[in-house]
Order: sequence, then C-alpha cells, then structure tokens
Amino acid sequence: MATYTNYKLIDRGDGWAELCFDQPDTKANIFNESALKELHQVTQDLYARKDLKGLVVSSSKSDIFIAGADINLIKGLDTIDKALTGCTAGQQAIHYFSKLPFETVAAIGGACLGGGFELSLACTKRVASDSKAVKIGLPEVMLGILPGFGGSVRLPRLVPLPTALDMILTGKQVDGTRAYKMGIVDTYLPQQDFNARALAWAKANAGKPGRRVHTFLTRLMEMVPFRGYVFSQARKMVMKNTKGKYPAPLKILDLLAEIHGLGIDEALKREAKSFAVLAVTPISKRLIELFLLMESVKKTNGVGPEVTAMKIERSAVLGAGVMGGGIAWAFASKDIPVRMKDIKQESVNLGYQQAAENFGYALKKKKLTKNQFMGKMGKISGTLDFSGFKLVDLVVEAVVENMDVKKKVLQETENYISDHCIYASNTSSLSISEMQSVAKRPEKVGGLHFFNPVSRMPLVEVIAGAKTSKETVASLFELAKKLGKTPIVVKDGPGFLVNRLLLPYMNEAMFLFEEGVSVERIDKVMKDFGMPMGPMRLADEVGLDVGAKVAKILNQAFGARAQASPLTDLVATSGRLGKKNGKGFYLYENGKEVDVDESILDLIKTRSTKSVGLTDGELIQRMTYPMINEAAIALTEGVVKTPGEVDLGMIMGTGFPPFRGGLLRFADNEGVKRVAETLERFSGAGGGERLRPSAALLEVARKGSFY
Amino acid sequence: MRDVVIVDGVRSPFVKAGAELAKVRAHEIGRVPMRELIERLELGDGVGTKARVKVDEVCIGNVGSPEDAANIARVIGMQAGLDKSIPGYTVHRNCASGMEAIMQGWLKIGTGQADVMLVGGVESMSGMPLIYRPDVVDFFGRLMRAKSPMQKIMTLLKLPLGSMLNPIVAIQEGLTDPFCGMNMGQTADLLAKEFRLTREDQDRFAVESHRKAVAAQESGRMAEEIVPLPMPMKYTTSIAQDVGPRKGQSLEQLAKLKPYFDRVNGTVTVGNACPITDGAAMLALMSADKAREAGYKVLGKIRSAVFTGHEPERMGLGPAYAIHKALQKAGGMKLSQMDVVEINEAFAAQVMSVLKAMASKEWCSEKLGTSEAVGEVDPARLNPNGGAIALGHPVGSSGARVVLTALKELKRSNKQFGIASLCIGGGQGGAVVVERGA
Repeated sequence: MATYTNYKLIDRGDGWAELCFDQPDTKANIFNESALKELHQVTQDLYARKDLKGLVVSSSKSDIFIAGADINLIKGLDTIDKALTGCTAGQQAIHYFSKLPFETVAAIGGACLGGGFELSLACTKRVASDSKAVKIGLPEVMLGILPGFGGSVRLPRLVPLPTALDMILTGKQVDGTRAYKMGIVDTYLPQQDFNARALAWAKANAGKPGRRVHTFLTRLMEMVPFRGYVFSQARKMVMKNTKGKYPAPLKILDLLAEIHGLGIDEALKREAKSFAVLAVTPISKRLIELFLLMESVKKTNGVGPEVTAMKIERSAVLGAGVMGGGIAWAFASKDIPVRMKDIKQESVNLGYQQAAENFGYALKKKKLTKNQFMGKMGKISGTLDFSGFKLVDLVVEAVVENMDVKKKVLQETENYISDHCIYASNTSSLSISEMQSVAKRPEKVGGLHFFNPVSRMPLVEVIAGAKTSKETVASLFELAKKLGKTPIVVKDGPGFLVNRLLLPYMNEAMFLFEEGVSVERIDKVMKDFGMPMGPMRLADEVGLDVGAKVAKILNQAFGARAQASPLTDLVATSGRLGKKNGKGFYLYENGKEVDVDESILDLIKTRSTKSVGLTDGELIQRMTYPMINEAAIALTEGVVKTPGEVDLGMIMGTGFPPFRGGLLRFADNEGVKRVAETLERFSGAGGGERLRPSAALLEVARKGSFY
Repeated sequence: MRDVVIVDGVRSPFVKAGAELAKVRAHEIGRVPMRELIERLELGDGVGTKARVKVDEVCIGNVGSPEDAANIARVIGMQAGLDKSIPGYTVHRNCASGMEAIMQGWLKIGTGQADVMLVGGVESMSGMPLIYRPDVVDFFGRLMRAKSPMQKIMTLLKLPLGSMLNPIVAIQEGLTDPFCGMNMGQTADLLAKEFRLTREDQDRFAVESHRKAVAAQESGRMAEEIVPLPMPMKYTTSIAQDVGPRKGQSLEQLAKLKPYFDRVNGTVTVGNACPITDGAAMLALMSADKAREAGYKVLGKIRSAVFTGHEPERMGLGPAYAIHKALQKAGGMKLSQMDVVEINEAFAAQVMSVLKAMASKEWCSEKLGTSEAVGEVDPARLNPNGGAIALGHPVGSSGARVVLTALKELKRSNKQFGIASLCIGGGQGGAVVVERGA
C-alpha cells in the first residue's frame, strides 16, 4: 500500500479502509497546498482499488478533525485569476473524491471547519462524536469570503434551506448532537474509541440511505414562490446585521439563489467564481488580518514566554454597581468565585442586579438552565467588609474615578490581602504609576480596564504601571483571555490607548457641531462610515460628565493639541448627563432615544456656520484623521508596541469598523501622506495646534505607511 | 471523643412563608449563608488550591425535601461553589433537623472521621409541595400502562377529578402527628390546659418575644448572625433582616385573635405561635486542634448534644427531657450554670410548659426519675434576643439557628455556658450544651 505524508490509509477488513488525516509535526490538520494535492493522489489510488466497499475518513488528532483551509493561502490570493485557480484546485480534489464508487463516511471527532466540513459534505455519510470538541461550521463568511470547496453547493442539498443559510451566512459552529438535529450528520456516537465506533457504524449501515431531516414543509419552502420569500427574509436579516457593509453574505445569498437546482458541475463552477471575486476584496484581506491578529493574541501572554502567569482561582471586586457587577459577572461566568465589596448594601445589590441581568439573558436564550443560573449567581458573594479577601488571587478595584479615593482604597485593601495577590484598578484614565506610589507591593499593582458594558465589550486594556512586574502583566493578560476578552498591553499614560485615541474624535465632533453641522448629520456620517453609533450619541452613552472629565485630564496632559471644545463643559454643566438622566444631545425616554435635543442650541451664543459646507468625506476626515495623528504619537511613546495593537484596540474597544481593518489599516488605505496633508489644511483653516500633523505622523508619512 | 468547636456561623434572614421568598428554592436560600461562611472563614472550597483549612463534608438538616433536590445538602454544597469532591448528605429529625446536622458534625469530627464540616439547616416552607392522592397516582400509572388508543380513552374516562382538585397538602400533613393524629397546635393546646396556662400569659410571652427581637434588630445584634439574601431572579433587592418581629406588638392586638386549633376551648392563636417561615442557618465545625492550628478565634465548643423521646401528644415538652439529659451528659452541670438558655418557641404554651415542668419537683421525679427539679430559668437568660414566635420557625433550620444565636449571645455578653433546645414533632426533644471559646 502506498504511503503518504499527510494521510494514513489503513485496511480495516470486510473491504473497508480508513483514511486517517495525520498531518506531521502539528497538533491540527489543515488543508494546505500539500494536503490538497495529496488528497488528489490518494483519491486516484483509491479509484484503482477494486477491492474496497467503503472508506471511513478520520483524524489522528485529538479534538480536531480538519480545522479548515490554510488561511495564509487565502491571504495571498491577490488576483481573481489566482483565486479562481486556487479555489478550483481544492474544490476539484474534493469533488473527485466525492465521486468514488463506494461509500465514504466522515468520522468527525473534533473541530470540523471550513474545508474540513466541505470534505465531510463530499462523503456519502457523516458521523460525529458527542465530544464537546466537535465544532462543525463554515466560518468563511467571517473572513469576507464564502465556502469555495463545494460547501456552498452541497450543504443546501443536504439540509433544509433555512438551516444551510443560517450556517453559511453566520458562520455558526455546532456540536455533534446539534448537528444531528439539524440533519448535518447521520448519527452521533460516544467519543470513547470514536474512530473504531465510527468504522463499526459505517460497516453496519453500509448500503442504507443517508439520513435527511426534510419535511413536507421544508420541501415546500424550497419551491417557488416560497423559496424567494426565504431568501428575501435572509437578505433582510443580513442587511440588519451588516448594514450592507460586508459583501460576502450578500454574495452568498446571490450564489445560493442562482445555483439552486443547477447541475453540480455548473454549480461548483459558479461557487469558485463567486469565491474568487470575494477573496481579492480589500475587506476580506482586512478581516483575515484581523483574524490573524486575534489568533496571535491567543498565543501570547502579553509579555514573553519566559514569564509564567499566575492562575486566578478566587477573585474580588471593590465597588459593586454597574461596572463592578459586570466584572463580577465576567468572573462568575467562568466559575471563578468572586467576593464583591462595597460600602452599602444597596450598592452590593446593584452589582448583583447587573450580574443577574447578564446571566438572565443567557437563561432566556436557554444557554443556561435555571439551576445553572443559580450556580453562576452563587459564585458571587456580596460583603461590606474585607472578609474572605485573604484567599483571593486578584482584586479588581472599580470605585469612583478619583485619585485620592483610589489611593486610599488601595492602601486599605493591602492590609487584608495576601502577598501574592494582584491588585488591578479598572480606572479608565487615572495613572497606575501614581497609585503604585502609595502601594506596599507596587509590583503587584496594575490596571485592568474593562469597557462598559462588560458583557458586550470584548476589549480589556492591561495597563502596566512604572513598577508593575512582568508576572503581574502576564497574569492579567491570561485572565482577560480566560474571561473571553481580547487583551492588549498598554503603557500607563493619560487615557491609556482607547480613550486617548477616541477623545480627538469626540472632541472634533463637538467642534463640528459648534461650527454649524447638525447632530444628526455628524452621527449619520460616522454610522455610514461603519461606527456602531455616531460620536454625539456615544457621548450621551458614556455620560457627558464623564466625557468632560476625561477631556480635562487629557487636555492637561497633552496641552494645545488636546484643547477641548468649550461646548464639552458647557453641556455637561447644563444638567445634561447623557443617556443616564435622559438628557444629552438627544432626549431619552426609558433608555431609548426619542429625538435630538434642540434646546442645546440655546447654550451656544456664537454658533458659526463655517463647516456646514463640508462634504461627508471631509467630515469623516475631520473626525478620524486626528485619531490617526494621536495614534502615531502614542506609538512613538510606546503606549502600545505595534499598529496591530492599535487596530485591535480600536475595533474591540470602540467598534471601529472591522471591514476597514482598524484605524491604522484605514490610515494606510487612505495614504498616510494624504492624512498628514489634509490635517495641515484643517490646521490652517482654523484648527490650529489641535489639528496640526505631529512629527510622529509626518515621520510615518515619510516612511510610507504604519504597517 | 476529640473536642469539637463551632468556629462561626451565619444564617439567612427568616421570612414568612408565601411572602418574598415564596418562589425561591430552598437550596438558593441555603447556598447564600454557606458561601458566606466559606468566604468569612477562608475555607477551602476544593475548587481553588488556596485555603486556610479544607472542608471535608457537608451535612444539612431539611424536612420538606424539595422535589428537585432530594439530597439538598449536596445541591447546596455545589451551588455554594464547593468542589464535587466534597460530599454532602441530608438529615431529617423534623423540627430538630438542623440540630441533628450539628450532632452529625460533632460525632464525625469527635471520632476523627472528619476535621472540618459545614453543617446547618434549611427550609422553604413555601416550597412544600401539594401531593396527589393515591387514587390519582394510580390513575396516572394506569394511563401510562395503557397501550392502545382505546385503552387510553377508557382510562381517561375514569379520571378521578374530585381527588385531583383536593391534593394532600404536605405542610398540613407534615405538621400532624401520625400516631396520635393531633396537629402540632392541638398538642400545644393540650399542654396549655394541663399546665394551666392562661391565654393572657401566653400572649404576654409572645409580646415579650417580639419586644426582644425588635430590640436585637435595632441594636444591630441580630445582624451579626445574618447575611443579606439577594432576591432572585432579578436581584434588584436583598432582604437583610428577619421579617417577623413586629415593633410595638401589643397585648390588645393579640387578644383580638381567635383560637386557631381548638376553637371552643383553646388558647393557642396564630399570635402566640410561631409563623411558618423560610430560612437557613449554617455553622462551621472543626476539631479543636485543627481550629487552633489554623489560628481561628472560635465561638465555642460543644459540651454535649442529646435527643430524647416521649409521648407524641405532648411533643412540646421535649426540651424539658432533653435539657435534663444534655446537662447530665455535659458532666452533670446545673441549669443555673447556663448563662444563656435558647428554647425554640414553637408555641408560647409549649415553652411555658417546659419552664413549669423543669421547675416542678413532682414532674421531674415522675418523668425524669430525679429527686430534684431540673431548675428554674432566669427570664433574663431565656431567649434574650427573642424567639421563633417573632422570628419564625423554618423547621429544618431552627435547630441550627438556636445554637448559633446562643453562641453569638455568649460571645457578646462574655459569658461561658449556654444551652439550646427544641421540641420536636413526634414527641422528641433535642438539646446542645455549648461553652464559649476553645
């Protein structure tokens, strides 16, 4: 029998063989160039085997069947021709395999994603194990492409149309039992000795037809005119979720509608063509870069492999309330017991309430049972004293943003915690190094900046003060990952990274408002740009008092270039706190915005009209370019080390549109030179120091780009 | 036996059944004080590696076993964040189930089977089920066995609707003695008659209970043993203290109430009996050596723990039997040596009868076979922070609550000995003698 590099072909008696995917020197199986080529070779050899009655496709890796195609292959596709050739090669290898003259059964014992799932779909039958490691899905859409190895063609022919649309459009991943219910696999088997069980099942069920979950109704839905309705509903959902900013899901809808009922060869051709069109779009490139950035975060501890992170087994939160409760929820959700301390029972209640709201959401979605909900809530215990603090490994302080208070709380807490315990402040703008100045164990003090609301915001800034030890940073970094967040390590400094970059943007929005542009237009322009909400609406959300406070801190720190709009203070002191008291740039009723607050115009005596004539594009430049300017300075100051971290921070922390790849990818795309020139022009037209391109930006412009 | 100490304890507030906690499961009420105890004492929950001492086992007393938590001790342990490797079991001795759990801890630690145990009691009397009568249960059985559609229809036609709408109320049934057929309230009325207790004296006793409980609340004394209970499912509020005690409870108000159990000749009313209540109490028990090693300042040690039995129709007299035996077992101590006497107030008539019986040379000689009376209780030492008439009596947890309350009072008043006792439905008594410090 022939031997292969990526596969083992083993005879299993009764005319059955097992094709075991076993890529050398790696923990995962992926479809790289060599594996795809070899698949063709293996298939050719299998055609020659006249003795075979059946074949089981399995994996030698624990927890992974086939994790998908090599993402670097896709990243490198720069012309439509190349993309078409590459896609067709893989697609045809799998198609060739699908036509083998005997039964083929995929034994899915672990992650089965993208190309891996597409190979499974090319088998006659599929069985999954009941292991939690089984994740079956087509995540291509999240990378701005579509399944190009036959998945877009075969899945809708296997399962009812709505199921296929849901899988392909959302990239959702399902386990074995769920996949069974959806009709994706023929059965699921115990994970113990799974490959052997799968083989036995395949032999026992040889010749029987595959399982289909179609009903009269699902068949009906695939007929005209109901099919059209299904597609139009799906399109509506896509438009709602993506605002039409992402071409992949729309292309998927077009393709699936187009190939319905076509012969398989023609359908595959069109699939490859659609794939190629998407694969070369800049949006796909940006999404892939973002994916790789996120993957790289998973592999580091924020410091270096020589440092070992401390495991956080018990935790505490100081200051309950909305933020404290949110942080307590994050701990409890990962089954880390958390002691939640405040000075009043009412505040402790607020924390419980916040956590219960978040868990309640999971309960409603049936992701938790009632008993599990209670168990999660049971991980949180409220207290008014420091009892229980001796055993905790980490205290997260989330008290009021006031340096004196923070110092006092730190000093008091140090009396009650053990020497090994890390103390992290959830401050959004106060200096960690200054807090360290009063600490007994400054090396154990750092910043852990969660964003509000904790349950929904994926970013955590891990702040290293002047004396924070590497071990402390690594421990906080690893913890943030454990909590399901994306951490970036940020050097201590005013506004850290995200708030520092966000401020010029919000500030410029205020200036534009003073210069005659309406609140609605400012917000609309930025929403169209891709931000989740406009800057004025965001200012209301954050709280106008909070915004004014941060603006003051940054103004003091950075001087003229961070000169705050006079409106910032004016609005905040006019009794408008934003969404929390129902009055800001918008008016709110029961937490929902109802209208723009026109009375705000009475506050400004001298509103000019000088920016009314700016185009939408110029408005975007006015608001986004100052962020780029500040990012260039932050990078030279070492606030973060790489442009990738800036982009990750902006996407995860502010919702900066992922399809633009982040702030600095956007800058590179715009051309940094052009950014600098435009700023120069704005500066001359009245922006002065505030909008003057920094030396750091000019340096990048001279070099060419951030990346 | 090794010396066994009670390191600390904490309980939930007691809340009248059917009120705020009506929809809160018993295990939810129980896990809050248990977790609080784990945190306060820095106990190892088995999940993390850091701990001052590790918990060996959990034992919880509970009467009305919730249908979804048959072994409620295990459920509470897990919900309180204890690792799966820490076992738990539930004990049942009616009103003294929580005291039985303390007994279990004392025996297991005393005999070296364990070093650290979390014990206590829990009850959600709101959560007690309605149960189908036997003919209804039989109907469902037949329906399940019916195979053909015709058989099913024939079975359905014999639906015992009347019985279905008249279920057995577990709480009512549970409070009725299976031997003498008397309701607990009727046994109290019997004692009131036999011990010649007037309605007014009983009401006065109840007023005192409320007055003492309110004073304990207002001074913050009661809060020392309570952890606020956050209220599911929204958790917007928490209950921080017992709901029962009524400020300014007057004799006149109580006098207006009609006798509840014996409507013709009775004197027991809902006003001079304990209300039906939800609540939980948890204690941490350790061997004295272990506690010393770990550097704990303990509440006190167990000198003796006993249970006694007598006629079910006078179940309320239980403490008279049990206190006598517990004092004997504690090395022949005298009632007068007890600085704090906690007797659970199931009924005013029942506690007053116990006091009269213990003071009566004649009763003691007849029932206990002693030549002397057990003794009189100084009213100032009896239930100094009020009792169940004001606080309520969540049956499974009261046995643990009286021991906890006695110990906290000894600590506050800097006294040495205390005894905690309850009457037990079915004609039993339970008592524990404790000594402050290790």
